[in-house]
Amino acid sequence: MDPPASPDDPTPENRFHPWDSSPSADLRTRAATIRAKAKCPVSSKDIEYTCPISGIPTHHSREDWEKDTGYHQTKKYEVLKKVNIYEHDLRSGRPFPEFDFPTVQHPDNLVNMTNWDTFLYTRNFYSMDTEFQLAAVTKMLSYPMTIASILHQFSPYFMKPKGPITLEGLKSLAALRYTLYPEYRTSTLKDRPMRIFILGARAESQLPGHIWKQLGYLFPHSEFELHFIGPECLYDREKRQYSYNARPVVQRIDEKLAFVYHTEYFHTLHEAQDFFPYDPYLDVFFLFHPGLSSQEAMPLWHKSIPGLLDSKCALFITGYHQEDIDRDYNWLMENYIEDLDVLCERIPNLFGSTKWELNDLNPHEVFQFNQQLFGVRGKRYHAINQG
Amino acid sequence: MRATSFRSAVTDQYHSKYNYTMTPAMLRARKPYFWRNTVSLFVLGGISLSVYVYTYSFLMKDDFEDIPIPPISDEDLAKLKKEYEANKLKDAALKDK
Repeated sequence: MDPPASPDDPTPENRFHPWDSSPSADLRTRAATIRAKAKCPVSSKDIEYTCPISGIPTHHSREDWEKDTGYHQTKKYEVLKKVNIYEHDLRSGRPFPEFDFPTVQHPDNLVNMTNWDTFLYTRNFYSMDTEFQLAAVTKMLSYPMTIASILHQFSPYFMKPKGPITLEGLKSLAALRYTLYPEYRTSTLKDRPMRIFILGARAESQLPGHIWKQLGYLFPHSEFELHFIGPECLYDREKRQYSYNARPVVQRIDEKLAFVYHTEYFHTLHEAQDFFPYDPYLDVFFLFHPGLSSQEAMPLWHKSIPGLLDSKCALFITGYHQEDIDRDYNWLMENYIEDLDVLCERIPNLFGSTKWELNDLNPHEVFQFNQQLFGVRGKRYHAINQG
Repeated sequence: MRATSFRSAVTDQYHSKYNYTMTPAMLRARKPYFWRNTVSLFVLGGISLSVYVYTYSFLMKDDFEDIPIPPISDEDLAKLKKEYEANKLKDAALKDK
């Protein structure tokens, strides 16, 4: 009844190779990096033992591996194995029909944003039958879909107590949806495209145009400008380095979507008033795993956050994992609690990447891009009637 | 990039091309709705089924007692019977040929 399995079809068995003896050179390099830089969590010695279940170097010796009860209780080896097989699948050279993306959505066919599966089905993506295809596609689509799932009128995030959105959050989202759905508007005023600012952009600024166009297909009546901000947002593929431009580089994808690359930090641009005036109806900020509280980035964020809160525009922040988002959230609350309103509580992002990744400097730290999500905004002060 | 494809194409893509069963991706997309859909099936099916059952049982009770059978005289009856027999013989003769 069933057709014979093709050797191209990815399965956990045929994609499994220990990283040390991987057929792909860059995974062998990563295994070597782990061995050179990471430390065993049990004995704090160099890592020399490859976990037989996950195929990734994790501990100093077999004894340490057996002693690490937390590792076995939380079944971390299963997540590490997923890291292993997903990386091998991307390098397997199989055909990738799932990257054939759908284009215009028929207005009668609504998009269901309950989760990745319903979204991909109602948008008529390639039928992604295995976790491998999902991992490959969701890693890229996660960026535009995180934005779209928050802003869309059929957003899966509901107001409290049914969902994570606070009353202040609903106010901000209502303002943005007023712009995004002109058919419900009484005034026909439309002065400029909606600006989506993406701060500290790295991977997301290198996504090809057709990935970001998926955002446009969900809002067929709106024009977008994506502003990538940060010194790592413009990558020169020929020179293989990040390039610097004193003036913004504009790249127009189609009549509804344009990319603007700013290779300065946000606070420099904010002080120069390059983006003025901000409009909470037309502007929204996204920070994809900014690492607000990390040692290197914190001084810079201390300069940028006041500007972001001053704008009174919605600001959504994602994180790699629970611990990462808690650190960022607590850091913001400790330093800026007086100046901000929470728009959206910390929640697992429904449109995070499903591909597991690991930190080469600590193979026990596993994460997914955009796994967690929360939103804040500068406090708005209401006019007080003095009587 | 694939050309614009609407609902009819969805059904093709989300069914196995070998045996036309639903693909795992489609089953996953339908999963959140499976139980509620099943309950709806039984509720709606139950309504129409109960209408059928009620109608059937109600009609079976009727023995057509209240319908008057028109009176017929013995002569007429004998005449009709004769016609009927004649026709029957004729048909049998035609069949034999």
